[in-house]
Amino acid sequence: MIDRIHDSDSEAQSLKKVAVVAGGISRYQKPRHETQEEMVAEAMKEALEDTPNLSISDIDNHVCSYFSDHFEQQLAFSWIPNDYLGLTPKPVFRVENGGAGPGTAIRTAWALVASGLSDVCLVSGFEKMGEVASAKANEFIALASDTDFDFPVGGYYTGYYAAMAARHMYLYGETEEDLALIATKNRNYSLDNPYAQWPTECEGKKITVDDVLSSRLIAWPLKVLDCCLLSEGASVIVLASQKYAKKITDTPVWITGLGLGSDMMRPGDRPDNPGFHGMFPSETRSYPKHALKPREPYPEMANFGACKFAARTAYKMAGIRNPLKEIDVVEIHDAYDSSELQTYEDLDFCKRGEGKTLIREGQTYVDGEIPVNVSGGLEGFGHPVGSTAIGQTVELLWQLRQEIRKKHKSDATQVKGAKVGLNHSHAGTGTAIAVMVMER
Amino acid sequence: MKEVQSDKVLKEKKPDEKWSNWGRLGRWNVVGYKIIEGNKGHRADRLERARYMLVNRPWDVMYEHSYGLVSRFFEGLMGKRLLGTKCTKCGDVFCPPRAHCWRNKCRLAETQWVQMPMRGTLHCFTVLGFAGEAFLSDLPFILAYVRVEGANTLIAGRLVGMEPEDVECDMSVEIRFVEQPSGNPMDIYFVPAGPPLARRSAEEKARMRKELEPIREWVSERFGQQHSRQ
Repeated sequence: MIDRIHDSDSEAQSLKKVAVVAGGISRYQKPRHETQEEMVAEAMKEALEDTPNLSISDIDNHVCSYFSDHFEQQLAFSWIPNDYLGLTPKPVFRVENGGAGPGTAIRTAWALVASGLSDVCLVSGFEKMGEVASAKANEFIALASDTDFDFPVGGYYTGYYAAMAARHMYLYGETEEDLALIATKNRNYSLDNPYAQWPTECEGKKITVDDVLSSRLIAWPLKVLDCCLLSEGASVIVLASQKYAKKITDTPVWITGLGLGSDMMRPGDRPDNPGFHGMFPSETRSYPKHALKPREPYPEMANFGACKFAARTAYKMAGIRNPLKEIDVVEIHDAYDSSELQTYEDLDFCKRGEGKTLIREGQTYVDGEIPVNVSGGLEGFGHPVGSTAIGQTVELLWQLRQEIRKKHKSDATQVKGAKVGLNHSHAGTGTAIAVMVMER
Repeated sequence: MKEVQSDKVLKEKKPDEKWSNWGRLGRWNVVGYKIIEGNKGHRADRLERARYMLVNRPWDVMYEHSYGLVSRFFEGLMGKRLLGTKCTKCGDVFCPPRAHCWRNKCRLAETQWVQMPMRGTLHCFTVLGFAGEAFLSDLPFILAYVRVEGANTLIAGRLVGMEPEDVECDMSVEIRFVEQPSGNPMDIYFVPAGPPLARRSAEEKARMRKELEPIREWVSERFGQQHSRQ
């Protein structure tokens, strides 16, 4: 084994500073009847209208994100929005990494700009998940699980997440009510967001914990209101190097930290996976006594080790030592409210097993210590997979620019004075996870 | 003589004749359509109306899929033998099997086949009330991840013979074969090997029972009398 060079600072200094300079969203709903490239164009049009100094001809590279060839029934789809926006002959390619595709696309675009290969790079994302019935859509999504072992027994994503949530609940004792609190938080925040899908399905009414608990069982302990939405929609962001950022906007938001992690494809391969050995000793030490202890107690099937790996990488790069205090606003990939709770722990907002305390104390509400998913998250805002973390980045851009009043129906979900944001993009059963820190 | 030998069929069960039309049934034709008036616009509060044409466009595929170097696992299932693999360097045991060891220091050492015991521990579980299209008629069922005794990986399958409200993580299970295995992980299933462990209150148990009632009703309404694959 070669010696790793730990002193990478001198190398990092040769990278350019990269900013998010513009963003736009084409509302999430199911169904959307505009085509994918038309939705991307609508999002791009919004970005252009908000950024008069930006022209499409300034863009020199395009990274595109969509999740499923099965949903779209079109291979090489990135070529279509690229030509539709008038970007030929500039480079375009797709970045695919399951549900973390959009976060990984942003990371790739960041690398292009930071390295000097691009000055102004577009990141677009879209998905249409409603062209097939819901049960078929769930089958398509389940194709991102191991199709020889996990899928043929009737497995699908809500099932895998439910089993992982059940393990976490068994270890640390949170209740279905704790999960329901998260679902109500996110869904009710989305009512202020004109880009969000949930308001188009709930007739503008707030939901309660009892509504969640009494909704249809999907996979115990998860009910339908504990789960995110199948969505259609699109979003774009534009990244630029410092020199170009200043020409394009007076309010750039800087990308100061990024991380990407991975875990085993089959969640059942995690409890003894040697890959995490010795990596997170404090999480390993705190394993509850009443449970059978696997060889690698963290993350096993109860938490997302790829997230902690990505978060620690991003925090180190951004110089963040106490994420709870230093981060002002967060967008988490809450495909399920249970995974938002698990992710609080994996992002080091609290110790392992204390995710329930954060939500019970209201720390992740808009006026709490660390507001999470005030856009509505995947449960309220929506989850057109290829767009998800790009749309959440646009929400963070508006948060950090204090523009929520302008973009939403009111400033009810504006985190006042927010300076540091965190975006989380999550795939599979936690199989690939990207984390990004953004600063005003 | 050819430099690379051709494939030789050792055993075969041909798909039923009905599958031969599978690829031609849905062939991208427009088999139905709708003209609708719908919404247009990037924000819910600034919409216009637009005219759209929606088409029904079927497309079916039949795959011939290889189980690769762990094919013996699936062949084993057909003969009602549960196999795993073992790394001869570090001793880790895989069920689901891996053809190469996962440990960096074993440098992708090839593993050896071993017979696995028909018992294990349920690591975690869920009770499914919805599923992919292919499995809807089986609802509700218990999906569990089980560590087969001695294995370092967990296998997914279904647990039967216990009410969902009594199932708990870390309980012991026996592994059984279905009567007619077909070379698919559904060939095995789990049954409890001891008394219920669940620490749930009577209230929680009642809630779990109640949550399942509408699922059972929905399945019998949609698929007629409920049937199980087991």
